[in-house]
Amino acid sequence: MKVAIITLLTIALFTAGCQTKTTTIDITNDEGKALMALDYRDFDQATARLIQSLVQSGELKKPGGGKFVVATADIINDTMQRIDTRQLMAKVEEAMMSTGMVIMTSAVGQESDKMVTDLRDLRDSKEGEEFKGDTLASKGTLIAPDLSISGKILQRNLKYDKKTQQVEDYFQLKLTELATGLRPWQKEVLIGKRGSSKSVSW
Amino acid sequence: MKIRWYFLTTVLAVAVLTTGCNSNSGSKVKVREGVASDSITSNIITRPIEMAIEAVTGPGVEVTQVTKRRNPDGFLEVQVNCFNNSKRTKRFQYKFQWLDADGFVLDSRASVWLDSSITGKWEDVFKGISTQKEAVDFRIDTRKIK
Repeated sequence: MKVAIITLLTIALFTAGCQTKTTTIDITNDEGKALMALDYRDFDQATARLIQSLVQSGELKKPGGGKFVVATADIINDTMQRIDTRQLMAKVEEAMMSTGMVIMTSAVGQESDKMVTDLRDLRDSKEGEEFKGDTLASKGTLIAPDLSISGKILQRNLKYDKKTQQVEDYFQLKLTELATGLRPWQKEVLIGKRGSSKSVSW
Repeated sequence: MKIRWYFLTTVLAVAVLTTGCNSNSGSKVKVREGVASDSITSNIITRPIEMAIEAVTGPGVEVTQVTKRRNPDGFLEVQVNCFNNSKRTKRFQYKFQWLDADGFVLDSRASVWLDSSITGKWEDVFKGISTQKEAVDFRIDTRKIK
């Protein structure tokens, strides 16, 4: 019995402290090594390159002044990683709005806010009579978008050599003029990595 | 005479220990150690060796020109021309920070560390554009890719 207790205590002593210490990431100046899977640094880098290209293109300037209304359309995740595409689009939308040249809409698109339609349904329902009329949205108040932004995240996994794999992640975005269907801007950013074929990229 | 010798030794020691700490190319672009020079590692023991290697291979990335302009939409654009004095390709990261008229740093999604590289004995550029029209000035930091 004593031996068992001593053995257990010894094991406990030896294993204590072997665990990796939990630390918070310095997201401003992260000096951690790169990962095979997409991490926040890849999304930050892709966003920065995409938004810089968009701003440089001059396509955000509305002829005659004012702001373009932009809707977020489909962003497809075609990678082996389970990605919420909001990870990319939340950053892109934020950066687009910070230019002061566009305003995003929550009325339509992938990022529509259900409350916009719910409130209108409520207005048209019997329960709507319970609300003060002028506090409900009137008909014909929503503003249709001028532009939409859509895109895709693609991943290719290649065998580099016996021990190394190559992972290519493509971030593609395009801007479409909804009235004409024309596409004034598009950009692809590639983030490539090579690493052990044992590590997984998803 | 003895005091003079001590003084000289101290001055030389300080010079050796501080060389390579930071290489500033103007006040706006900070070219850090590892980007600016071919370093093995950066510590007091290896620095003399590193300096000896540099004497043969030459230093690393040097900023040759910084150009800025305001584009037709009112955004500040900056282009940094660099020359890699090393024979090897230099990989590094850079980060732009955009400042408003009061010198405040603007919060920007584009102010993140971005990868770049320059092949040996070659000139190349990296560019940045502010995503806010309030930007009137900038500063750039660099670091070696680990």
